[in-house]
Amino acid sequence: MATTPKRSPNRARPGRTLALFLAAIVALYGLVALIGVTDDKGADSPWHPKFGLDLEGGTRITFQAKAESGGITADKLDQAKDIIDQRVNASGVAEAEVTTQGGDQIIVEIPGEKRANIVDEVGKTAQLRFRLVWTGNLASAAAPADTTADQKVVDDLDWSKLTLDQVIAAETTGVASLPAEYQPGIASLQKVAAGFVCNPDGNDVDDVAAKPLVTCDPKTGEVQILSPTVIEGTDVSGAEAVIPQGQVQWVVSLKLKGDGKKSFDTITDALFGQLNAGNDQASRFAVVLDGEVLTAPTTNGHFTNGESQISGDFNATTSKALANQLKYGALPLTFSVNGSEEIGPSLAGTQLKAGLVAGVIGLVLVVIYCLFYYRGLGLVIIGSLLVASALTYVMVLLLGKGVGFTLTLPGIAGLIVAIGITADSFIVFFERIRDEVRDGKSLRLAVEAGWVRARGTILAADAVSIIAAVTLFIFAIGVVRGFAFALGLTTLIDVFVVFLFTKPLVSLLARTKFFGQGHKLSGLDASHLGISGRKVSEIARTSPAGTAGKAN
Amino acid sequence: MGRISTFGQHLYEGRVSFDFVGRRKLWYSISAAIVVLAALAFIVRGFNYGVEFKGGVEFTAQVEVANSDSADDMIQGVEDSGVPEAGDPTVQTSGTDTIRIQTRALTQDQATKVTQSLEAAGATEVSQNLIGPTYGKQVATKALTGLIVFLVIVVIFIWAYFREWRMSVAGIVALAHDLIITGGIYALSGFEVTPATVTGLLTILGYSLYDTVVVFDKVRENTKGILSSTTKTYSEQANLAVNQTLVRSINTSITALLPVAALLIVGAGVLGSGPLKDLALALFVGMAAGTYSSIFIATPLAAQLKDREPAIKAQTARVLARRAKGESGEGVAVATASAAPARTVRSSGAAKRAQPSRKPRSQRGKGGS
Repeated sequence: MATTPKRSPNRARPGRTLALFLAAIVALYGLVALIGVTDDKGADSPWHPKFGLDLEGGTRITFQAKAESGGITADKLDQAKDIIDQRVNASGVAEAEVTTQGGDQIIVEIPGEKRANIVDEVGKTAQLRFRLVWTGNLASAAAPADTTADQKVVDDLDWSKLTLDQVIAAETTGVASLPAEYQPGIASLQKVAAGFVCNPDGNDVDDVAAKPLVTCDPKTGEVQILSPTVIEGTDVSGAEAVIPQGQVQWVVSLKLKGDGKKSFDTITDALFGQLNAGNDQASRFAVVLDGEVLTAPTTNGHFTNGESQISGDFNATTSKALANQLKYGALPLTFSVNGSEEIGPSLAGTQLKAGLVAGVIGLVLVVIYCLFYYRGLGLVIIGSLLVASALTYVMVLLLGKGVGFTLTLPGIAGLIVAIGITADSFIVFFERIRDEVRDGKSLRLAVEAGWVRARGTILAADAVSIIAAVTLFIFAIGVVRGFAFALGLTTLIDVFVVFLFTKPLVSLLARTKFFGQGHKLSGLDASHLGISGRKVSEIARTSPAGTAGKAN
Repeated sequence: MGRISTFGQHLYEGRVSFDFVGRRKLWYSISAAIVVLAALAFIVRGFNYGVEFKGGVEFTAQVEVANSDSADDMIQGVEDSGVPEAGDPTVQTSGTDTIRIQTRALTQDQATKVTQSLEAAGATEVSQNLIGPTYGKQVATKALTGLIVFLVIVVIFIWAYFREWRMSVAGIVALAHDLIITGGIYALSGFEVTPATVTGLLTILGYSLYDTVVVFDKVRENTKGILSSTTKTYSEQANLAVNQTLVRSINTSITALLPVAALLIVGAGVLGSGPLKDLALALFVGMAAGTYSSIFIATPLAAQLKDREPAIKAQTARVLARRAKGESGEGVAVATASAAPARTVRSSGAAKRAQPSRKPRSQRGKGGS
């Protein structure tokens, strides 16, 4: 330490860093402008953040996959999401967004419209099942009868004990072949069927897989007594509307897999036998979607490989519709409605306004406090907060375009809360600078030394904040995620701003007379720091020997 | 303002010092009393769960003027809807033009009927939020999972960063302290607990530890090489760290609480009850507790745990023994201090980092020039 270096050799060039950082922000805004130019005319303006439903108004429906519907896998949930998406579109709602969430939920969001009434249509359990037609060709009752007691008899029996062969025998040789304990149930089923009114607009039937079912085909009005489920719709691996070679009639080709393929082999073996014996009715099986018969064809072949064709009076449209129902009709999971929300536009407007007002008030309060306490340095905080805000805004815009990030009320709250955390980084930094100044360093050196110390603290503290945000984002549901995202985003931005803006700016300012020599308003003057008997700039300005003499 | 800065200088030099670490029994007792009170409040009164946790429907009706008359109109509207399940609703005005009506669980069709009926009864716009009975439970379960995962990650992070499991433990204890106190205040005041409150609580986790990390970082800096120090004990250095970061802690708390207060005021004032208010309230209480616990709980506890380490124990004993011996020498130092306070405090070295103090730059250059 023989010489006093005027300037440390590895000193970064703060001016350049600052310019580059600001240029980068401008470039980001340029990117937004570019998106605006290249976007289709119909697209939303890229200069407006994408608002969530709570700020824009609209409908949100949350479907929850029921655990008892079997293992909930990401695949199944995605499949269900696609099906629900199709149904939402089919219900005439434009611009709905369907997303999965939290591994077991599907969210339908319809901006700008109050349409919670589509919930039943869209979220209906939609279970596709194959059942045998125990008794068909029944007529619809003229008036509904109260069959609750009979239904109870049916429900109280444990039909799952029946083997597949017994179920088949009940069709091929008659329901009388079933064990005696089931006969009261059969009698009750017949009574239920007798009182069943087939409504062409849809029937509310409680379709339980393991129990027989009385239902009808709303297209024809035919009421049927059906066996317990023999093949689950999830065993359908493919369905397509085709015209077989050399024919002119549309058919629906059906492919089954797994257990369904095996059962279909056994079933068609028995049923085809009945057809050959001239017993058409005893060769029918029914495809049931949500408790309603889609189709109940006769079996005209023994299909061992799970591949078959359903023929009938199909045209291109009806065959495709049936194929789609077979393919997509069954949601792979059962869903319950977890919640539905309709937010009117004026409530949304009030919430947006409140969020913005709170943000502005919060920012102004912090600015006033910083100016009051840090005086000149407070301006640096204000500048940093402004830069952070500008960066946050452009990121919200870009993320809205890029990954569909929507700004919700909790999101805005997250941004507001982050003001404090962002300001804290500057406070940690400034307090360190002031500590170094108190130690007797000149401001220029104090900035560098204080920065080295503050840097680690800021990074560690921000890391904790980001861990919290990420954990919250992963494990939270609903609007909480918007909050977590906003918090994480601003914490990251904070790191960038403090490293690339605040620090270089303070380094630059330290070279000015106002700050470097501890002007009364700079926040770094001796009396403000509580240092008595010497000026901040004293050591830096006076000759070494002189200072030493005075101090001792 | 100048006075606070002077105060900051004095804290930094150790001229003014609050004994946060030494009087830990006092702080522990205070905190223990508050925590017990909070736990009691929770046991006796429990939480006032919002509709999100119970399941039900919340209608938000915009009216011309929200007062008891229009509230009565809305109740009448619910009755006129012909949905018996919606009977006996909870109605509250919120803000100047909003009335919130909560009913028990309804089906979507029933909810739509009530909405129409409310519109007929004079509401200009009705928003509805139908919440399934499992929603709140899910939020809570997820939050709990998140909490556990977060704690595990943070314990590992703090341990890795500070190379000190004791700091992890102290940080977590401080965190639990904040959460329990916030929960207790909620139970005691009967503030509604909603998913937004849960969000607030989870945010406190981050904030509380954030604050603790900043203080711990200073503790680490101050206690670097403590084992070779003959003048300062670990606890004293830790206490100095808290004092040195006290001004920062105060400033940070103020800048963090100001925006939250803005949220709270706007949330409660403009929107009445709602997610903004719930969130801000939980944050406000939790952040205040978080600042307190970083200073009064986390650091004393970390120091206490550290003091049990044999090496630290021995070092502390050495320092104390030495101090007892050199009693007279100390007196001289004090005398000098009164003559030239600024310099003496600096040269004592006690107030700052434990590294050997360098000569000021002004003295260093001599040999070369």
